[in-house]
Amino acid sequence: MKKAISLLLTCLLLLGSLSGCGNDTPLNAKEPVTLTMWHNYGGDMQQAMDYLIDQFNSTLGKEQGIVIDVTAISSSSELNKSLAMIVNGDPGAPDMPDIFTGYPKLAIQFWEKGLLADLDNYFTADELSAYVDAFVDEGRLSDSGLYVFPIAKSTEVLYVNQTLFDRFAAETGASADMLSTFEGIAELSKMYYEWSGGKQFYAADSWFNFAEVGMAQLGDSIFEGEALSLDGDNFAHIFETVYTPAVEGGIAIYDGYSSDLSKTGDLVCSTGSSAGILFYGDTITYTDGTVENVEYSILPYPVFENGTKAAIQRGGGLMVAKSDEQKEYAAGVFIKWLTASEQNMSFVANTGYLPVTKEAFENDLGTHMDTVEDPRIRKMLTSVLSMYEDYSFFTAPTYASFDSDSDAYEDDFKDLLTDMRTEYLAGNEISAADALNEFRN
Amino acid sequence: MFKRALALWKEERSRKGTTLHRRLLLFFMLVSISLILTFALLLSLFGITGKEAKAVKSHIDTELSIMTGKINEDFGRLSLGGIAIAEDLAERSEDFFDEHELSADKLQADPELIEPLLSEYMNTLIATVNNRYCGGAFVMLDATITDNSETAKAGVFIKKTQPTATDAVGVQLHYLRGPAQIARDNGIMLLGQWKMEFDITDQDFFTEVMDTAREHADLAMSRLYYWSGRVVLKGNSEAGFLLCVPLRTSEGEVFGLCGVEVSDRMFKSLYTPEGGSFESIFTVMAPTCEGGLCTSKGLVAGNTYLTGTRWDFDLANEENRDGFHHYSGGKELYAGKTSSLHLYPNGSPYEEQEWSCSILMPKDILHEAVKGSTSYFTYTVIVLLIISVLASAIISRQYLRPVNQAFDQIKNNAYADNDGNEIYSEISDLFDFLSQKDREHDIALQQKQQQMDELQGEHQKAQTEISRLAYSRKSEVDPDNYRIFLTNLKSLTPTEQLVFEHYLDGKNAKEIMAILNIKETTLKYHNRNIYDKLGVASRKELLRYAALMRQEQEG
Repeated sequence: MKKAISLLLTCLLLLGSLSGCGNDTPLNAKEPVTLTMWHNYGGDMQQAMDYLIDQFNSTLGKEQGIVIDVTAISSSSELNKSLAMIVNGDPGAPDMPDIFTGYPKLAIQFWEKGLLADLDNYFTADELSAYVDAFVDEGRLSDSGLYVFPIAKSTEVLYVNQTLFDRFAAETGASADMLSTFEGIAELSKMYYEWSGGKQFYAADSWFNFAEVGMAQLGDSIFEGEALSLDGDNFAHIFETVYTPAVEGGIAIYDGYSSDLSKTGDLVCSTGSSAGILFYGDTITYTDGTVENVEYSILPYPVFENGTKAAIQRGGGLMVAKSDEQKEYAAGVFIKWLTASEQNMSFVANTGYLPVTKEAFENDLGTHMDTVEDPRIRKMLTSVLSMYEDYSFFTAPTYASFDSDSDAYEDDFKDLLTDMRTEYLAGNEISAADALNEFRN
Repeated sequence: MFKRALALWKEERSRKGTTLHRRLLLFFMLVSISLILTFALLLSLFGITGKEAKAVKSHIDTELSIMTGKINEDFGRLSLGGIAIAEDLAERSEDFFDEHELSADKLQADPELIEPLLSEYMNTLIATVNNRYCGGAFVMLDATITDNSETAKAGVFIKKTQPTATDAVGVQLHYLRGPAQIARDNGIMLLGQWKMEFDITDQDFFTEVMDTAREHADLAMSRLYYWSGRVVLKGNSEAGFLLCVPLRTSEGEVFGLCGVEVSDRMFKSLYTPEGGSFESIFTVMAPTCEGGLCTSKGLVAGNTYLTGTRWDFDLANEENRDGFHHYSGGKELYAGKTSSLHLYPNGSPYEEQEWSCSILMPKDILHEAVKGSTSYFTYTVIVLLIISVLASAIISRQYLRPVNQAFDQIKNNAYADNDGNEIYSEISDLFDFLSQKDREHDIALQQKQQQMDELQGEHQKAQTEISRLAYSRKSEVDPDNYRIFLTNLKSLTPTEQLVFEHYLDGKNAKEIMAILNIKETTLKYHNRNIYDKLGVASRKELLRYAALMRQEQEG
């Protein structure tokens, strides 16, 4: 009798178990949660990112019930414009994505409106210790919360079309050593302009970075509190270094990326993000359609004479929209997976960004250099690794009006130099000092 | 041994019959199992179970209908837009040719005019990309500024990285193909994969469209557009369908083509089906081939669990069953529904190309969804049946327990001590009945005992009288004749012995004749023999000697 009753109770328990077991996380593999994502890894990088996201969706994402749906891929400036519409509540603004890439300066705007999730809630101290401390700290805002999670970093390097430079150097005696300083580059620009019959030698992707880093190299700062300061001799020197070749020819003032000019043989060298390496191919195409095979060198970021070796360090991170526990938790799972050493190295090897985990950054990078298939990325990583031995790196400050200040500087600087060049070509030469005064005002 | 045991059990059962417990158990089991199965049958009949199959079919049918309609409409609209673009570009081209006193077929001879001509197209292409959902807009001329006229084609390709945005702030255009200066003049950034001209090596769409347009010079432009299968332009990384519309002058010279791209990303944005509760559902748009789907030339949207954004294999049609189409490909099986798309109008040279739209899921997931709670339901029914059997066993045993106890009490004769504390009135009545019967039997027994005592008394009296008579008779019996009597008893034949014993029992002649079935003469014959052998003269004397013998034997 007792056995029969026990058996009966067992059967009843079995029946009860059909209602399913409990779940420790808010995720449910049977009812997956979809997270929309915007990122700026487009072009040649898109395949690498698509592959990683597909891999997540079909493995860990499937197991835990998370789907990452990429709904926008654009350059960071384009994404920033759409994100600015969202945070400002502009009419016609798109829906805020659940995960998006961006810089801390963007994060501040969202954080001030309570629109970002604090990722400290989803990472233990032990898990965070796996990442380069400085990278994690960059993503913390004034309340010490972690709002921008590091995914990939970059610095700035000097891209040189070695084929064109060698041709130029062979005929003019120009020395490659001059490429190590901005003063040398300015001199080479003038020489090249004359030698080539009016072609440009150098351009900077960001003139604001040029000034910001230059000031740091000279032991100064372009920032005064939460505003820009263009006063002082150091800034004057920086301005004057580029002014003459920009106005008289040799330094290009261009609205797009320098790589555009490089692709058509209209530029010999440029400073830009190390992550821009994939924009430089192994050929250039002249306007008459002639295609020439070329070789690029990637050199350390130039330094102003008598300045210290310093370069910028930046890189977007991942931000998570504040929403419900399920979505935030799912985002945490995805970010953890994406930035884990294995995936991070895979991303790095295919995009040219720098890794963010201590294991990859400090140990793996040199070891796995041979596994990086793209020779351009291999070349870039070699150069950057040497920079990390000699250079000091700094990150731009994050304050609310940083973007508007830097954009305004960039636009004003380009407009000024373009106007000055127009004046020069019209026969009205304006001195660097006068131009500087005008710019400062 | 098992057979022997079974035979013994059957024999025992046929002799004793089945037990009450077994009967009651079977009764309960029959009732509960019947109820459960009837309930399950009613649920099935009324569609309360199995509704998942209907829901899945309904969902897939609905999504297929919506998606097919949407694709037909969108692609139709794009086709019309492509025709409008081609007509606009053709008009601009004609103006350009007239201005430069050039004919379309002579463009190759003046390659320095290619870039200015392409520049004329930019406003139209930029407006197209800005105002439409598309992955990009392009134009390709049958001319090149290089020496490689076979595979190099001049043109422009403007890409839109956010294909479903129109005129949104922050949406920048990118330049995939074309002269760099044109991009700079229009403030468009070069993509990393930028090349100046198109390379159509191993890509047939250009020559196919151009040749078809030339062959069908009489057809209107609305009949000459062509949708390529999935194409990845040389040196590009994103795949897409290309709408190709030939560029034709008013005199019928075909000199290039133009169109828009439905990029991989755009397809994913617009045509991912509503999953609802069905994970892994996806849309496939592809040309059909040999009854299957040429997914290597198609695009897929949805089911982000699929690895890879592109398929390099085709789906072969397997046998359709359960109302679903089944496909196999890439080491996987898929199932869902397919319907035809209508991409081309009647009279188009491409109208025989069949395209399909399918809503599919991995087959095992679809079947799981169709089964839905059926397996859960089946499992529940099985568990309920087991529970009902166990419950029947427990209940029937518990129910019969007082009855069995009553039987035990009866067997052990313990019911007589029943003092009315039984719970069940029937058992209590039975015990009272049995007790009453016992009492009646006791009374009857007492009476019988009394009768028996009386009979025994009379028997004793008779025996005493017989002994007395026997004693008095003994004194009248001749001892020698008595001895002869005793000695010659052994000489009687079996029949004579029998007759003698019947006389001793007090039977008369008639009775003996009836018992032995003999005639009177026969009996007389036996009597004479008996008298002679035993030395008696009559039956009376015979009985006297017999009584004396009996008395002596009884001592």
